Parts: sequence; C-alpha cells; structure tokens
Amino acid sequence: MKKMEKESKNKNHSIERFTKAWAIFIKNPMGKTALIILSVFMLMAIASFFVPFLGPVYHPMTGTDPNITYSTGPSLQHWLGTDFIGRDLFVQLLEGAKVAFIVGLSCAFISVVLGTAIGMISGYAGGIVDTVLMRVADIFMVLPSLVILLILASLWELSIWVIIFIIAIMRWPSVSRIIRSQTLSLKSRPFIEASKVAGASDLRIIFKHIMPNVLPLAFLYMTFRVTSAILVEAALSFLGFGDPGQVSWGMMLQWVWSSGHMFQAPYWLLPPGICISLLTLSFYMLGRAMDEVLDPRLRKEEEGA
Amino acid sequence: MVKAVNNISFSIDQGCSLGFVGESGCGKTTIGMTLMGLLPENASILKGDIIFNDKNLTRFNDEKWRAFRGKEISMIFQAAMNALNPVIRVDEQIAEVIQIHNPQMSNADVSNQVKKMFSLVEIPEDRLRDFPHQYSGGMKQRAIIAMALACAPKLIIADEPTTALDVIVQDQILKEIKKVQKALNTSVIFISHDIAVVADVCKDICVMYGGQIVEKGTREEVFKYPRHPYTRALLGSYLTLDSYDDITVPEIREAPDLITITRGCSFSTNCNCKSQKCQSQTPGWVNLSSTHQALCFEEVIHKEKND
Repeated sequence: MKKMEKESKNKNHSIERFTKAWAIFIKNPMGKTALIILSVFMLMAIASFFVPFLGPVYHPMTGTDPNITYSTGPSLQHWLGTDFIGRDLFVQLLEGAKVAFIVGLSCAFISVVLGTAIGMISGYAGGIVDTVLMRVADIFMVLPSLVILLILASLWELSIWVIIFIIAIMRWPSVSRIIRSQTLSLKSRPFIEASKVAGASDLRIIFKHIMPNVLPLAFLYMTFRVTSAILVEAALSFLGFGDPGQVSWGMMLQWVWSSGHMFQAPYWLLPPGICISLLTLSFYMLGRAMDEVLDPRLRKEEEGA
Repeated sequence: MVKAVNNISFSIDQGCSLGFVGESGCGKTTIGMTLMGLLPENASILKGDIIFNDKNLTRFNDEKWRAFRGKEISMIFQAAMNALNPVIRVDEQIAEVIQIHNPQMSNADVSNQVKKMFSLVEIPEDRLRDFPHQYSGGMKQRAIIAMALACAPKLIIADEPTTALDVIVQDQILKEIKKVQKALNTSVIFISHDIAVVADVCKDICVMYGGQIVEKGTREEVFKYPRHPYTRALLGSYLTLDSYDDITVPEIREAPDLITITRGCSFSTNCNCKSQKCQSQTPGWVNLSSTHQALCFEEVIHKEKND
C-alpha cells in the first residue's frame, strides 16, 4: 500500500517536472512564437497527407485543372491560385511544408548525431585520434556544400533522400567542433575523475557523463541545422537541381522563375518565400527557448526547493 | 625529471586509519592517485611495489584497474562541489557505481543499496532524486561519501574531504567518516594539510615534506613529541590556546625545488639546525620508539631536544 503510494508520488513528480519545464519554455516569448508558427506549419504538413482524397485534380505534382491553361490568381476553387499549367498552388505549399520538415529534421538529426559522437570521442580521446578526426572535420568544413551538391546533382538525378544524406554529411563538422570543445572542458572537471575512481570505462564516461552535459548544446545545434538544411535544399531546388519528382518550396520558386512569372504572379512567388523564412526563423527561436529548459544550470533555484 | 614522491613506505591494517599531513605540493595527493592507479600520463612509478591484500597493484593493467577501483579502493575527493555530475540526479550517480561493479544486480536491489547508503550518511530519502545543485555543500560531501562507500571498499582514500567546508559541517563530516569506518570496518587513508582534522580522525600519522615522509608514528607520539625539525615547525605554525613552549613559530620560506636537490636533506635549506652534514649527506631513519621514526640525523634530533 505504502509502496503504491510512493510510486504514484514518483509519477506525479515526473509530471510535475514536465509541467515546470513546460512553464519555463512557454514563458519565453521566443519559445511561444516559435511554437505557434511551427504548429501552423505542422498542420499544413499533416494536411498534405489528406489532399489526395480531394481528387486527382489536387495532386501537387500531376493534378492540373483541365479548365485552366495559364497561371491564375486566388479564387474560391484555388485558394492561392494556380501555376502556369493549372496546378493548385495551395496544395503545393502544403506539400512543401511536409518536405521542408522531412528535409530539415532528418538532416539535422543525422548531422547532429554524427557530430556529437565524433566530437565527444575526439575531445575525450585526445592525441592522435583527436588530430585525425579534427583534420577530417576541417576538410569537410571547407568544402562548399551547395557547390558539391550542384555538381553531384548535375551528374546524377538525386532523390530527396540522397540530398538529405549529402547535406547531413557536409554539416557535421561544426557540430563536432563545438561538442569537442565542450568535452575538453568537461573532461578536466572533477566528476569525470570521480567516475574514473568509481571504475567507469571510457565509453561509459563518454555516454553517461559527458553526453548529458553536451546534449543541450547538441539540441540547440540541431535546431540550427534544421534551419540550414532547409535553406540549402531550397537553394538547390530553386537553382533547378532538386529532386525533379518532388514538390518543395524551393521547387515552386524555381517554377515561378523558369516560367517567367517572377514579377507577374506575386500570389505564386510570395507564399513559398515567406514560408521558408518563417519556418527557419521559428526553428531558430525554438532552439533558443529550448536551451533554457534543457540546461538545469540555467534554471531558477526555486524550482527544486 | 622530478621525483614528486620518493622513498615512501607505509602500511595500514584493516579498519585502521592513517593520516598524511604536509604542505601543498609535498606529494600527498600523488600518493593517493598512485594508489588509485590514476597518475597523470606524464608520471610513472619507477621503483617499488604497492601490495594490497597480497595483490601487487603496480602490475595491474587497465582492465584490472577498472574492476578494482571503486570496489576495493575508493576515494573521497577534495572538490566535492564539482565531483558530482551537474546534470544527473544524485541517486543515479550512486547507483551507477554499484552497477559498474555488479552488472547482474537487479534494479530494485541497486535502489535499495542506494537508499541504504543515503541513510548511512543521513541524507533524507526525499532528496534522493534531486540534482546536485539543489544540495548544500555539506550534503554534496555526504553524497560523495555515499558514492565512495557504495561498493563497500576495503580502503578509502579521503583527499582533503573537509576543505572548503565550515567547521561545523567539517565536524559532522568527520564524525560521519568515523562512524562509517566503524560500521563497515574500512581502512581510511586521510590526506590533509589541516593538522586538527588528521589528529581528530587518524591513529597513525605520516608527516610529509618535499615528496618524502619525514616523520611517522602514532598520533600521540607525533603531536606530543615531534622530533623532526619540519614537524616541529609545522606544529608551531598551528595556533592553539595551550601553546607548545619549545616550538617557535617558523618564518615562511620557499619549499624545496625537487629538480635541483640531489644531495643532502630536502629540508636542509629551511631547517634551523644548519649543520654542514645536512647539505652533503642524506639522512636516514632514526628509530625513536617501535612505532615512531624520523628521517633526520641523530645528533640534530638530540640537539633540538636539548634546546
């Protein structure tokens, strides 16, 4: 009986902790704004999954309105208008939101996981391992990712997943640099020595003691990586080297440019541009707000009293 | 090459306590780190053995050390404030030590053991899940002691465990250590520059100077009848209400340079006796009783005694 009481108390405790963390996050105006914008985009991305049920006319890539043969402005039937072959722009915008999330999040995830692991190992091991890993990081860091992507994309038709993977591979070094420097300072802190004294192995120290300390930083960089991945993919698509079978915001901009509607169809040009800016901005703000929640040292003392 | 610690020999029995006193940089912590196998990369053991329960620790490889540390010998650090990982809950950190050495132990058993340790060092159970920054300095030090004790080691090295704590908390922590030592029959090596602390806890005392033990004996012998000039100076620097008549307060002079001193007594530059012999010859051990020894020349000891 007493045990059950205790368990429920523990459970309440973790819920309480979550609500407190949530309170810190939501109190931050940046966090609040980011969350509102992101949830709107999230809704758009989710909505894109339901568009096909409206009929083949609304397919973002192949669905053309048979009655329209040129670009039209907003109307009841096509909320944002259509492009030059009669495809619905609003549907394309929804699809673009989905693609932006996929590109941004998976790129960020891959590059941050890679960067954090390499940074921690490099910083902790030191010596020759550190030198080799960091020189490799230097090499990757000076490679211009967009140019390399352009070259690769002009040689082969890259699918969206290959593009994601390449961006991620190009983007880990700066994360690992930051994580390495953090690891270097953590390594000389007494609690690392204390866990050595307790008999912990190197891997255990890296993943149990150093990782939780660098995780806030890694998360922070993850949100920044999301931003840069979305931008790179948009740039690539705008230049015409994106996945040709995939609608994205950058692709919409490419179509508006290549079809010569740049200055004739603001209803076509502006939405994807604004969406790209807003989404990247809100991911950045999310990162800043999250940093405060994830790092217990930044929390107010009263929280645990 | 610097011989940070030279010619050290001591032994400690199960359940006993041994204290090392000396000034900063005399090699106290180096001894502790050597016993843990955690010497910095640019340091090495040139000669000698460390025998612990018939095992020669100097022959251990990394793997063996890892299984050994924390289980047989553990350490209480001087910087308790920083010896806990700031982003991991305290109970998890103590549980980790237990899990490292008993990987087959069930989670319930581990958490029971953690609770036992916390009640031993008198931290209330509802503070178990706190983060280190929510603890006070004394509580952190208790948590560190609980961590050091988690696997019931046979020897604990306490490296200035009460530095940076105020005297009341200091007293509590010392009592805690003594209580725990009695309860678990653990041996304790106490490293401190605070004579009062060492006198409080330890039965045997080693006084260190310049990387060497210069005088060793029981607590009473060393404190009541100090024979080595350095010990006398050290005790003289410690102000008490009932002052020692025969001890003069020493002036502060520089510690010996361990690189340049190759001959003679390492204390000779600071010693009051100023005999020619001290600069040319290395002193040997003088037996004063069966337990009391000093690293000095017989005539110097007798001269000082008669002064």
